[in-house]
Amino acid sequence: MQQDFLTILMFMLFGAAFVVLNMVAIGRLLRSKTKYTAQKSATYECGEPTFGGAFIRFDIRFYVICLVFVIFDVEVLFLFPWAVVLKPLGWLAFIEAFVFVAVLAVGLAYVWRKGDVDWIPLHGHQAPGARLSEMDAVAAPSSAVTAPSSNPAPVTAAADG
Amino acid sequence: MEGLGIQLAFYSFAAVTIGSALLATMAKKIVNSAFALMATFFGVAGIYGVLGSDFMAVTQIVVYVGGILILLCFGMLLTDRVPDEFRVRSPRRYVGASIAATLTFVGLAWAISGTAWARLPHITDGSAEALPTTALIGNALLTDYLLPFEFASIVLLVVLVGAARVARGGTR
Amino acid sequence: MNLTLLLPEIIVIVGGLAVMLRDLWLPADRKDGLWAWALAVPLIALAATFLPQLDVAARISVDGAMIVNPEATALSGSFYLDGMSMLLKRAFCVAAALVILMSREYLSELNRGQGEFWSLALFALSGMFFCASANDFMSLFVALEVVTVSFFVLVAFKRSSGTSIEAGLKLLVMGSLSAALMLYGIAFVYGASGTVFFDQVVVNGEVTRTGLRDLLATGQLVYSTELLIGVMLIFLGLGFKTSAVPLHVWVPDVYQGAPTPVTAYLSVGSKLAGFVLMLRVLEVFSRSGPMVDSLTPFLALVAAVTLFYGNLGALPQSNIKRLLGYSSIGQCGYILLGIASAWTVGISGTLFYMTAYVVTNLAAFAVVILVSRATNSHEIDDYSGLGRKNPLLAAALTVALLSLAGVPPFIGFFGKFMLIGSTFGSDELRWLGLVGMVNVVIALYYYLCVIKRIYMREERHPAKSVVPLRLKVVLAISMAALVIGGIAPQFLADKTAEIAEELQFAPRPRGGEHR
Repeated sequence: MQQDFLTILMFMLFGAAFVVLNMVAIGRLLRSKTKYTAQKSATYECGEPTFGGAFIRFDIRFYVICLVFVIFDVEVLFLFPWAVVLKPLGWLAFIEAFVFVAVLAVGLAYVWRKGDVDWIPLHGHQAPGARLSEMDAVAAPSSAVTAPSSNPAPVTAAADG
Repeated sequence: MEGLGIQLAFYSFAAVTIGSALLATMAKKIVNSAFALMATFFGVAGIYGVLGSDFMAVTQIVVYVGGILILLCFGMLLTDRVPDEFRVRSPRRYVGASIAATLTFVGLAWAISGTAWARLPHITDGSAEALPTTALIGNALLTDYLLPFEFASIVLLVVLVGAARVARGGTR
Repeated sequence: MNLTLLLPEIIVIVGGLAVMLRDLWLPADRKDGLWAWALAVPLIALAATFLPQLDVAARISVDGAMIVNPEATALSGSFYLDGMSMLLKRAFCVAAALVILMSREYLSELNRGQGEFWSLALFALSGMFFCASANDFMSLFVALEVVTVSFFVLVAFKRSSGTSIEAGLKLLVMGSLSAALMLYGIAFVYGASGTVFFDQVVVNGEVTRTGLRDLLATGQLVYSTELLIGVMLIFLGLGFKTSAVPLHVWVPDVYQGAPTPVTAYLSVGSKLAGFVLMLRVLEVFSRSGPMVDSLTPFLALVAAVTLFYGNLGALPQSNIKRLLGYSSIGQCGYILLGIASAWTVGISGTLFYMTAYVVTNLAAFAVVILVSRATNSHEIDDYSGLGRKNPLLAAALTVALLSLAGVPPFIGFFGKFMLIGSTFGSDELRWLGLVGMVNVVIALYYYLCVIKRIYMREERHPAKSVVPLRLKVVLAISMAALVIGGIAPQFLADKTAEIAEELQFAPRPRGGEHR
């Protein structure tokens, strides 16, 4: 089995060597020789002049969504060995994994209903149509990145209907 | 020849792991630490692979490199500002940390070297070709380890709900 | 599979999920009623523990030797139902029910996002249940993680309060460290023995899976350095839960910063989950004489240091929650004292004291919640004159503190009596009994300081505490248990003696008189 890993390792080493060789050795031979200026080492951002640093403060919702991803990532890893042995173990194994997934489905329902996976800062739950209209109401997408609290919710919005 | 190749792979992965872990603790910028940590995770995955634990190697990459590290980077970007120099470099901390690390190392080395591993009946000498482990793990999870397996779903659920609640702050 | 045995666990988990889903689809103005749903779950689970189907003999005699009854295990031996797990499950149910009754008042201050509180409290309860029944190291670890992770969130539940968040973070860092230590210890035990299971599984007379109990009993697994290091690391990890020195540093800060009902829950639920696992692991390894000889001085030393740390640390405290935090470290020392002398009558005393500790500590915290609602403070100075303002409340706090101090005729006295008495059974632990007695005196001093303020000082806050019905119920139940348990301890003591007998700690190799 280590042979299989050896293949992967060789592939990775070859890939790394390929990139380095191209960038350093072949690039040096092929590129035109020009003088070094300060602009050459500047950050390239689609040709526009850059402004500000790369370290802006992110919205906490990036974190929550990433966390939801990690949780379901781990879930899939639990299900992978299950899928391999499902056939020999039969229905009992199916039920066991079903319980496992069902519990996590409650977690998904939780983040869904609480609005953690909604991108537009919705406080409360409305019909899909209302969501669209609110999307129009949000002026600039950047406001969603910098200030989640810029859209204060009416207290009653948490009510479901 | 085969044994030598495995040994070579093991020690080079170990070197990558230790080297990048040192880099992660010593780097001046926290972003550099995070990227050094990625190399550490890869190195550990490599060690798992060399030791014939294929499923663990994949798990290590999928969860740690693909998930935890991203979460770590988001965590960095959530902080108010990322100062270039984020470490307080005081010799006292280095001394304290070195003593703690040395004691841990000596303790573990003592315990591991004091163990007569060959005497233990469940440990084989490793000359046999390692088998794929995924099916074995699947079998074990669904039979002998059914309770931890099922209850792990509750751990994941509590983590999900808890982290969302703490991050959100109970506004909804 | 013998799933009937898991009925209380299934009730709690399904209940937790149901409360969570109910919260998601409940209009905001009706969410106040959710506490009743949450309260029903531990009560139903408590009722379920009395079902005759769950009354299975934990040990059976085969060829003259008492072995674990396979009928009392479920899920391929990972789950084990014996007298100890049953007693602790009932205690956990009572603790969760009382905490839910207390929490309603606190949560009404948060206008939103309280549904998670109930479901997380119930998931923590399910974790404690599985701790009480864990029969292999993997189940033990996962069950303990559910408890710990739930408490990370519950402690940091008051997001608007900086101290609550800080307390949650401290718990998270220390909890992760201790979990890592414990997992490493489990790896060592697995490395030394090749199994994480406590019991073997026998199918048609053939051993299909080995277990630690049997490996140790038959001498296939012998004492070795790596085994000892593994067990010690596991005990360190459990020591975090029980707030034993040296993993106690989080206790005062977390107790002070956490919402008070959560502090109450943490101080009984999480702590008892750690102790029950300590007893379980110790019972498994009691089959190895050299292991017992190595672990006993270690546990005794930790017990002595914990006793002194908790009780001396409590002396200068001016905040009641911090005081109760240090006092709970001290109480942990007493229980450890019983566990260290586990090979005599210590186990019975330990179980007795653990049960008594639930009602005593919860009563104290119920009064703390009520007083802080009136005075908006946790300073002990603000308890001045409580005896005149709220005579009943003052009496309840006095009884609870006296019971914690171990003054007759309350339940705590008999528990301390059994624990300290147990150390005199063996020669090498007699010094520990003296340490325990010295600490009774120290503890009495700071408990009496609080009582003195209650009755002999002028009041600082004129505001009287209004006691809602829910907290009246909590206080009535705990007071009744404290007094009845103190006057007639034999009901509980007989039960714990029976359980200690059933646990079958292997006879102490030397120094023990009782076997």
